[in-house]
Amino acid sequence: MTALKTNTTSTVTSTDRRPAKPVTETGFVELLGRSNFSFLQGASHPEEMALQAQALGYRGLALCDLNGLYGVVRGFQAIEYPSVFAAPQPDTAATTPFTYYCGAEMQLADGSSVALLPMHKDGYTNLCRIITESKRSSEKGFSNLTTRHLEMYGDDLVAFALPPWTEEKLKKLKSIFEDRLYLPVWKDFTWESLTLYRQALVYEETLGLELFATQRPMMHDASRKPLHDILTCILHGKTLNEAKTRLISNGERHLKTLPQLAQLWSDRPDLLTKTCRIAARLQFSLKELHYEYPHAARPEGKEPSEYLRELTEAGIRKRYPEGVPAQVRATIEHELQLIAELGYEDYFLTLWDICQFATAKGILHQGRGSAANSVVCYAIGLTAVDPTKVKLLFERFISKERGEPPDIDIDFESGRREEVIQYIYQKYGASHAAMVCTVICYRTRMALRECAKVLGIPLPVIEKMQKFMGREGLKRLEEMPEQLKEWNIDEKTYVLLLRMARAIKGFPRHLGIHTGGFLIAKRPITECVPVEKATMDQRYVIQWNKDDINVLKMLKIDVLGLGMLTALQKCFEMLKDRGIDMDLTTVPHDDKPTYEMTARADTVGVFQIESRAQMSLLPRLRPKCFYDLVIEVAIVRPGPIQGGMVHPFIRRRHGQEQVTYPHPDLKPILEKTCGVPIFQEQIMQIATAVGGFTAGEADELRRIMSSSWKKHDLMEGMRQRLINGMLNHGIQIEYAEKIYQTIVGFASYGFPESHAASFALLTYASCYLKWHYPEIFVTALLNAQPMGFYSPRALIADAQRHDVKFLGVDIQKSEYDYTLEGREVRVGLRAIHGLKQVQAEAVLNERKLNGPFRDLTDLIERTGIKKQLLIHLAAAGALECLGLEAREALWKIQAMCLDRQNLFFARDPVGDAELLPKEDEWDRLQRGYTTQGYSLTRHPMGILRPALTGFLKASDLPNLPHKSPVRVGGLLALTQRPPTAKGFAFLTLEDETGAFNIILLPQVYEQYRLVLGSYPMLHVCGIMEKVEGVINIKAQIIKGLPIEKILNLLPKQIAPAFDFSKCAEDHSI
Amino acid sequence: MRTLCLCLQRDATPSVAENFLSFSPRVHYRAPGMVFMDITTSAKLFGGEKQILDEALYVSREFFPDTVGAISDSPWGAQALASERPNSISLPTQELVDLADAPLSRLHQLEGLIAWRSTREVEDIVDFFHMLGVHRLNDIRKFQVDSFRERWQDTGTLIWKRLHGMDKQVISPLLPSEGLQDFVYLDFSVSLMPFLLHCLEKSLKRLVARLQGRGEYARKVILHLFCEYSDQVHMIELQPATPGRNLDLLMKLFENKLGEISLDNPIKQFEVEVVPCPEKLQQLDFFEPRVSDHEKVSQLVSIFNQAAITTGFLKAKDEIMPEEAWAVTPEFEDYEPIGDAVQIEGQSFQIKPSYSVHLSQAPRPSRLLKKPKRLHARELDRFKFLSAQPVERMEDSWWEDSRGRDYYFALSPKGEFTWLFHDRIENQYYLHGYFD
Repeated sequence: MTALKTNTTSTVTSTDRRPAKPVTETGFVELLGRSNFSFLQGASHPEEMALQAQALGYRGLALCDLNGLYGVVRGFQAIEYPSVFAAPQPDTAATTPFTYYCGAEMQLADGSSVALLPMHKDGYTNLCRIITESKRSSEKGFSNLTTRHLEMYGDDLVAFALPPWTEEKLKKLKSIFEDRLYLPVWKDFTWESLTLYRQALVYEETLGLELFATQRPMMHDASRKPLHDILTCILHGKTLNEAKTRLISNGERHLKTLPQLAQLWSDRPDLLTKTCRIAARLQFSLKELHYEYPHAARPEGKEPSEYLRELTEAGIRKRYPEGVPAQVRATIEHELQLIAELGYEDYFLTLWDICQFATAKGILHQGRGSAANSVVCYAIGLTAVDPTKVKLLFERFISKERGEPPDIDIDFESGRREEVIQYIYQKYGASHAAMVCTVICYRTRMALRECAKVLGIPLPVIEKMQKFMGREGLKRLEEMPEQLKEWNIDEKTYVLLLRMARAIKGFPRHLGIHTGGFLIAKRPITECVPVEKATMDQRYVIQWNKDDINVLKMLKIDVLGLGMLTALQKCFEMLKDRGIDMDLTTVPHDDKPTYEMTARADTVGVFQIESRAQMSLLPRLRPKCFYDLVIEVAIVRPGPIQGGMVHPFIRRRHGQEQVTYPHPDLKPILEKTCGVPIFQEQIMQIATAVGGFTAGEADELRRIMSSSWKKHDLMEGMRQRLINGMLNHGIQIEYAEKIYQTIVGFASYGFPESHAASFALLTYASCYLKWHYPEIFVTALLNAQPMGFYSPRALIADAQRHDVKFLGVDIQKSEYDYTLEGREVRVGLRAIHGLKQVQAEAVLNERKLNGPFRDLTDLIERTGIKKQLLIHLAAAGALECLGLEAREALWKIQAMCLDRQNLFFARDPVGDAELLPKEDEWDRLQRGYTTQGYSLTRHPMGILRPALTGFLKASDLPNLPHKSPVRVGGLLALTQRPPTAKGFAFLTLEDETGAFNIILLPQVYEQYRLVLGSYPMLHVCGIMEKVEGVINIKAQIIKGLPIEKILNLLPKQIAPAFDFSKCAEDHSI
Repeated sequence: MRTLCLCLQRDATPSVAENFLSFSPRVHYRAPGMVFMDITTSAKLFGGEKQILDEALYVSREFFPDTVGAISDSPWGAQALASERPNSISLPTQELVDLADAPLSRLHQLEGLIAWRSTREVEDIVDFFHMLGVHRLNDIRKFQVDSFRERWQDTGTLIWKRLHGMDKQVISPLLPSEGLQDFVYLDFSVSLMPFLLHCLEKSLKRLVARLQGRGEYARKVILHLFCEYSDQVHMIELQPATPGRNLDLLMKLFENKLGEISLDNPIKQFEVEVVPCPEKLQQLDFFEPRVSDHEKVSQLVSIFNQAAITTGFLKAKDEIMPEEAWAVTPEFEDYEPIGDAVQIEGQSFQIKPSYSVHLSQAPRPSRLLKKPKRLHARELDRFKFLSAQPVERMEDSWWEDSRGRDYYFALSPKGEFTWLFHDRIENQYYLHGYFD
């Protein structure tokens, strides 16, 4: 073709602006990069944008996401601290110096936008203030910014005025930013960009504004255009066919190569080189963010190191009343020296201050994580585990070489965590303390749902797909299921859907609040990071998450809530009523019966070791001391399980297998765990000892293992390094692979030893209380609900099996909480579904003030109780003490007028109560389950038993030989299908004598998975297996128990289950 | 009142009641999908209640295959019976006996011509009785009316009355008022005549059923076919020599007419309208105008259509590809392009951008070729391109059939200012229009 090669914009070519050198030499900086942290308005991760710009040989990239600095740290980390396991960059990147800049594109209330980039630290502070101002009073995703804010905080910022432009507006911006205002122009083969370019040329001439070239990239590569379209559709709530001109008309808004840019801007090459001149004005780097910890926690005039030493000394004397061991003393000195050297004293003092507040208020708390390695933390009361007893490594907590801030997580009673949070706000000030955010990203289900909506797939079909997918994720859908026809989706759309869902997975959706991460600073927080309103009222979050905070070496504290601490505190309070003074540190150690109980896996309700997997391991592990519990807590985690470390450890522990080490250097590392790696630290040490990793690389490995984002991308690089290193040390490939698998598992979830030790302490305390004070323990657990693994029904059933007696809910005797009446547990009003605490307490206060209620009318008249509440109480049987059988009470109350103004207030209604059928045992049980979720009288299986022939009870199983065929029935208490179980599922069925552990092979699960969700009671046929005292049933057939049918087989019993006349006498006044 | 209740098992338009006018003049439709007929007198005409039920079910199942029905003494009784014992007949005065053993949840169906004000209210009553161990309708009949009134006021009283056969509902005569029109959006676009006829037949069948019920004939049938890939609309008007409702005849006539139309541009939706006339034609008033202005315009449009001339107003559309970015509409309509969506909450705002809104401002040739003309290498060589880089790049429909074009301005050999594009998928050049 001999087409005329004329440029449409040739009229504007000006030779005097043409630089002597081509752009490949003069360089180019993309000043208006945008990532997916513009929330649905960018189609690449910040790391992708930064690394692509670097790979293309740019001199730099400025990330300017919409209305925030959400993604800047991620791009910064990718450039400044690339992972040692990351893929190497191309040569061009290595030869061209690259600078990463940060900024934000701020939308103004008049519909225009201005991108702001800091020149120095002051400019950065101003930018944070502007963003905070625009976000502080706005709902999530909204902002509110006017030029007034720019006038107030515009100093030290470079501004790029984005279209639409008017002369008036540009003049206004020019008056604010003076020579720091620029006009960006771009060519993306749209008429709009051409028009704007022409307009900008006019302003260049008339207003003297400087122009520069950009690509206004919304993706790092053109291949992301479809993904960008999907995001646009999600943003607008439209399907692809409906979106029309809402979509970008082409995929040109991406990072182009330098030759492409040179060709595109051949008429004005100076606009490309101008970017470097502008970038030279941007001197600020995120590295400059020097963070100072608040001083509020120490007395005026007191030096932090001096004060911390004082507190440590005082604490250590209390911890070791019989004299501080020399080894402890030496460790303290070493720790204090290192803390002082790194300047972390104020951090420790702040945490101490918060814990002091909690102690003063009687809020139980305990530090965990790597802090448990520190004797100082133990001394000042942040942790409760004596680190010298479990031989933990302080360097795991703080290391001078690593130069990373320590990570101290403190658990508080979940019910009272809010008090601690309010204290922090009050003490340090709302402008100095803010919560760390969590970036909520698209997960498989939501990604599939949103993409399907965009592709126009009807909602009922999407729901069917999600149901079919189950927890397997897209994997199951990728197998092109037969259901495709039923769903009426053509193959092309289906493939597209899966491709898009996979691509969108991991993209940020919105910000949430971290469970307890706080950033507390000496200077106002808005000087270093923008703050915005969270969904929760009166809560503000910073725009960075915990990983970002770590990258910038800022100190955060974690104020977490733990249900078990609430339960334990309640136990200690009840023990105090019995004259027993006990707390976490004074729980008697090494109690033999407690360990015997755990060895029997009698651990329903205790901390951490109550799951099916833990319970099946306990009889094999047979814990005998505290360290055994530490191992038990750590071993049933994806890390050791995926690495196949569990069974070798058990065999070696019981001497059934010889303890060997693949390499002599591994002996000191693995000695305490029989040659098997169980803790995170051991993996790091192995990598250093025999994997050829440096200390830095091992630390990177730890970061990957504990980081919550992007870790899997780096795994492959790390695998190669590890396996090669181990092979070089003469270790067999099989063992090397095993170690790698363990690391993969740890990346999903794994415990460091110190963390396991902290948790094991709670485990031991809960086991001790369960064994010695079962009624107190179950009462506390029930009052701390919701928490833990089991429902109140399962906890009560377990306690009943341990001879704890329960008394029904009673309006004359029950409190809101479960209470103890001697050794018996009285069910509290909190057990009644739908009953609010405030409502219940109004009634209870009246009872406390003026004594028991005479009858129903008295109750109504004295409390002004609402009808709905009364119905709840009657249905739960709480009014039986007033001489009213539940059905009769319900019938009566439903008709009563409870309006005090009404003539018929509380008047007895028309009779007909005699027409109500009498309640039999099953009815009563059913009512209990409906109103409270359990029944205290009998187990449903106990009632159905006479009609079930050939069904074995849980108590029958221990007497049967291994591999016996069995038929059992029970109430479905628990269904588990952990991702590490390779498709196996585990059920717990419950009958009147105990529990059945059912194992479902993958094919059995697939066959019966829909039955599991459809019936409350199941009938299972299978083979019983008895190994090392652990009884499991391998299911072959699963059916729902046909309750109605079974009830019809039972002999009719209409006898009332309760003597009401006696009740009425009991409460007569 | 003997009532026949049909549960169509899916929602329908109220006009469906007209289908059943031949069974009784007193027909009532209630959403969703309930048809009630007073057959007290008309049952005899069909040879008895069994026959009328069978016949009504037969007619209904033509369109609603899952229809069930029942006959009882009251509309609510018939509805409950249709759910409890589908397709059964309760003998006169036996309604309550037949429902005695029904579960309490049947209270939901005990509604008849007027649906319960709140299903939640009824649900609460059902739940309440269940909690008391009462599970059958007969069991709650034992209670006094005051017991119901005190507990559930009006709803309770109404339930009690119905359970004692004391609530009367009357079905009024149905006077058809809805236009005889049917609009069909096809699940997939149709370019094959047999498929189109099949869909059309279903639609006509519905209209003929209504005509049948109304006792009317079709004087004229107008069919509008809407094409998928443009706003082209085919219109076919049938005016049989003698008004009637012979479906086969109408289908035959349509088949002939459709044969004249090219279905290259597949049909996405169609609309059928029937102009009815009474079975017995009334003589027209002498002064009544025989042809209205509207009809004259229609005739004119019809003539243009026959000459393949499209008539109407040009209207811009929010589409990326130029040939789809406009349409011919019969009426003048204002065009407001899709803009940024701005959401405001108090003082704060959120902007959701529309990225290609500028397309409506971009220059487009005054003569845009309906079908771009492919340029062969020799032809292309004779065009003079005015720029090396494309003026516009357009990409669209990657989720269906990807389209990617680079548009250029070029001078034709005759000196015309043209608009060409390079199809980036096919790597082929096309002429797409001429500027003035």
